[in-house]
Amino acid sequence: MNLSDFLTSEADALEREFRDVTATDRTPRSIRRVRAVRHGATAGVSVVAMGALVAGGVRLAGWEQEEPAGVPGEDGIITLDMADPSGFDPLATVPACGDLAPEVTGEIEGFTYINRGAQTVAMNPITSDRRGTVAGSVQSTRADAPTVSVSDIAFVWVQDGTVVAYSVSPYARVPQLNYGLREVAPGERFNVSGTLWSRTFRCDSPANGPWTTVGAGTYEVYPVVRVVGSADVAAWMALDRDGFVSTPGNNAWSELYPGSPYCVEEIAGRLDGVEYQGEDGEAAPLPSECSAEPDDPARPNVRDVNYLGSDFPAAVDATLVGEPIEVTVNTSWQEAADRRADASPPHPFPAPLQCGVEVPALARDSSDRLTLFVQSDVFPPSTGQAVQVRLNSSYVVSPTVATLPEEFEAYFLERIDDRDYSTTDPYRVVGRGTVHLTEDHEVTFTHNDTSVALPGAITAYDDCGIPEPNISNWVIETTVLWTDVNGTVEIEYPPR
Amino acid sequence: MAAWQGFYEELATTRYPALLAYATLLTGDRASGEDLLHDALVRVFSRARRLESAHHAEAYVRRTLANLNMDRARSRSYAARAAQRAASQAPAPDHAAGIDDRATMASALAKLPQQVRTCVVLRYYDDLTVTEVAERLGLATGTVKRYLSDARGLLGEYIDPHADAETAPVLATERKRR
Repeated sequence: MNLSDFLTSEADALEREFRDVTATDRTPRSIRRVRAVRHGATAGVSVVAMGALVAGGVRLAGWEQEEPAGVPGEDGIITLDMADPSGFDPLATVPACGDLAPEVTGEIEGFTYINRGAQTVAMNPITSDRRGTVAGSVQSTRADAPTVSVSDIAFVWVQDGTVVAYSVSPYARVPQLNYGLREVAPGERFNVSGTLWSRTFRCDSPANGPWTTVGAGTYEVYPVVRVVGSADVAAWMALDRDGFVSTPGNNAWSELYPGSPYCVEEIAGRLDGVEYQGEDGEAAPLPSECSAEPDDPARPNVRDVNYLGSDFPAAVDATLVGEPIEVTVNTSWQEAADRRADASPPHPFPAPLQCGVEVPALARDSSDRLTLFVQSDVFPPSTGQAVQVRLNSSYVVSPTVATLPEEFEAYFLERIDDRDYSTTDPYRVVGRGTVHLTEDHEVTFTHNDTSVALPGAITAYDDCGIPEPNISNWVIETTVLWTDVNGTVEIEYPPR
Repeated sequence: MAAWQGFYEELATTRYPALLAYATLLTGDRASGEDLLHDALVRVFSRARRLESAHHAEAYVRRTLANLNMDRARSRSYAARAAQRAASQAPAPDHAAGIDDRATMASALAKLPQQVRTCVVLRYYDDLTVTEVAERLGLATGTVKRYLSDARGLLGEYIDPHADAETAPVLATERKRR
């Protein structure tokens, strides 16, 4: 049986299994509610260049102030800082570095965390066991059905009784927010998960950056989950319902609210993806328009959002700590990396790359913190053609400044054997160009997972004598200065 | 009765099992499928749009299901996404013994990250081309190819290695078999 046949028969079997299932009343109720809110929010308002947010409940500047937010069960308006994840951060209240291990919690506000699966995890970065998956459940024992967000599992690493590391940087305070904005029925148990792997914040080495690796040894690792029901949650529910694709603080799309300086660029770049949603484009996964100015240019991430009291039936804030899991790291990731480096051939990117040179498949133009892309309306590019250099950041310690040189080389690659679609296929250089940044060379990242495009142009292009290359990847060769709270470092691209 | 209500009720009564099956195929489990379908129905029917028929509305809902599932995957936390990236880079399992039963194939499918799974369903269930999948999901074709490549790592022998050839034209003279 091939995959197509399997999926077809699986769908048929599921349809037979569900033949007596019908939609519940909950769905049409939600539809009516949203339509009512949308109608109420837009009635009588002259809408000029308003994004999807506005239509979905974002209060317009100058509207009469409604009742204050925060009363469970009542509709309200809340001033929401979309970039601030602290209200959902599972590690917000756990013990600090050097403190004693956290206490395992029982039931808090009607929620309990239960470990599932293995209670011991062994990881050996030299072998394939580089990651450990931890599974748990959150059980509601409440009689009511609150709407809550449920975080993914975060971890507190303990050795010899004291906290030595976290799975999430306490600098960035990134919430491990599950897409769990949901109503939790009485008695309902739902699964959560988290991944243990090399990236942790280690208490004893902040100088090495917020993200580093734990050493070899045995740890007690405490899973932590936060369950929140609040006006913030209700506001995110309203935004989500309206097609606003984001989660608090930590999302690649968090900069795409109307008014964002990146919104227009992003929308333009993803217009094709928006259009498929239909003629009106309203169901697009991004706001279809960007307003010219945010309500407060100094705080463009802050919006007033109407929310429904039915999305905030009860206030909940429970940080649940599970029984510790014994985690053994057999070899430190650093040692494993050193061994791999020793076993690897010399640097595969002798610069400048020549036409026809093969480069490894996994050579990506990225480091842990910054990924560089060349974007162009036309591939292959040509001399004089406008391009954008897109920078996607991760693990940002706010604020972080990346400074690029004015010019750098870009190599355009063709997968040598894409019939196999193998991740190990090598690439061949089929074009070379010099990219000149025409405006900014410096970017300030204020949030984790930010995407920024810098305009540029190809000032010289060598097509390597291949008129119709099937360009599927590219490598930028440059050095970026990266400045954050730990100082300035040079990051070479491609990573060496 | 508003027009949307008529179309909604037709879908909710006659097409709900099929839509829930499709949603479950995308998510991998019924509970998530039900959540996804609820959200998709709310999204489609809560907006003023020109719906010509229940069939037209169903097409909207199916598109929205795939997009919402992809959006949810995008919106997941860093840890989840990091895990997915790591998974996508993990060595492919040994297929020497073969996957010879439905349960094993379902298990392999369940291991796919949601973005990958969504692309697999659109490519191999909806029978869209790579280009069409990319357009449907608002992704670059290279991204879709990468996701399908990741899927091959786990499901290799069940994906026809020639199935996507038409979407990835390469000059014959340039091809190099390894």
